[in-house]
Amino acid sequence: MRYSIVTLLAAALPLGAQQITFPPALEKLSAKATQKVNISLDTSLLGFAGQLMSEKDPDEAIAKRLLSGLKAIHIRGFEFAKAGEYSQADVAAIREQFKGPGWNCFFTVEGKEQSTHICLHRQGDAITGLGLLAAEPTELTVVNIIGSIRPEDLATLSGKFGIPQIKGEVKTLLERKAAPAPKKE
Amino acid sequence: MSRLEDELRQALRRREPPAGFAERVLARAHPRESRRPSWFHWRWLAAAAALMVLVVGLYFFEERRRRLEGERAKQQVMLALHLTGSKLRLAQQRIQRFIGPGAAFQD
Repeated sequence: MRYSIVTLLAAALPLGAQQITFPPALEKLSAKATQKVNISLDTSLLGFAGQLMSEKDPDEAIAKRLLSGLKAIHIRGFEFAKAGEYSQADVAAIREQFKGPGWNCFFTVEGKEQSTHICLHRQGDAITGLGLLAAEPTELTVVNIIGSIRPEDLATLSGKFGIPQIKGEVKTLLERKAAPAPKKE
Repeated sequence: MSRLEDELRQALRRREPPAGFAERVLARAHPRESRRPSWFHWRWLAAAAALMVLVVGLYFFEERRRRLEGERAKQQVMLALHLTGSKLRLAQQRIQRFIGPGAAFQD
């Protein structure tokens, strides 16, 4: 009973730790960018979008299924004419948030000029958020998907929308990452 | 026959109305005259019809706005998925560069 009350309260709470805060410096990068993508979709907009997606279109049907559990999608993408338009501090401000409670980065590559982080936010057994930070010399992309993401949905997405096909081991890895960490005795 | 004629004549003879009869009739007739003219009802009907047209128009305007908003959101969702997909592909390529093809994702 106590568990269900906690679960209900958690569901009723506003978007919390799984929501990435875009620092003001990042928002200002759009002035320097040659191309920019700014997507902020809340629950109601995702609902509208879902209603307009057709079950007959295979891509839309998959997206519709994914959207049913999502609360928000936030994306900031910038493409610059030359390297060095954004600072490492801008990237660090995002990266630090992936170290917060519930976040678990299962893919991290950090180089001198580029870095990629793919992280999942977990609440109990469920994946409740996905964060992606891709910093390249002339490109910076931050993706924050908030809401219930089922590993089977991720598997369905593989091979669609340019997403690579996920092999069995990675699917298992995702499921393992989604599972709660074993308790230490 | 003459008796009947007499009775009829007696019954139909001209009689003067009682005093004040004309005033009373006019007093009763006056409220009817002061009633709203018929065009007044049409004015209300026209106002109600205009209001209905306004409400229906607003409803369809709001529906259209919501639909446009939904279409825009749908396009943004598809763009978001494609963008995320392209970045995941990039990550896959990096993994392949580091630890060989087919290490984590598969084309």
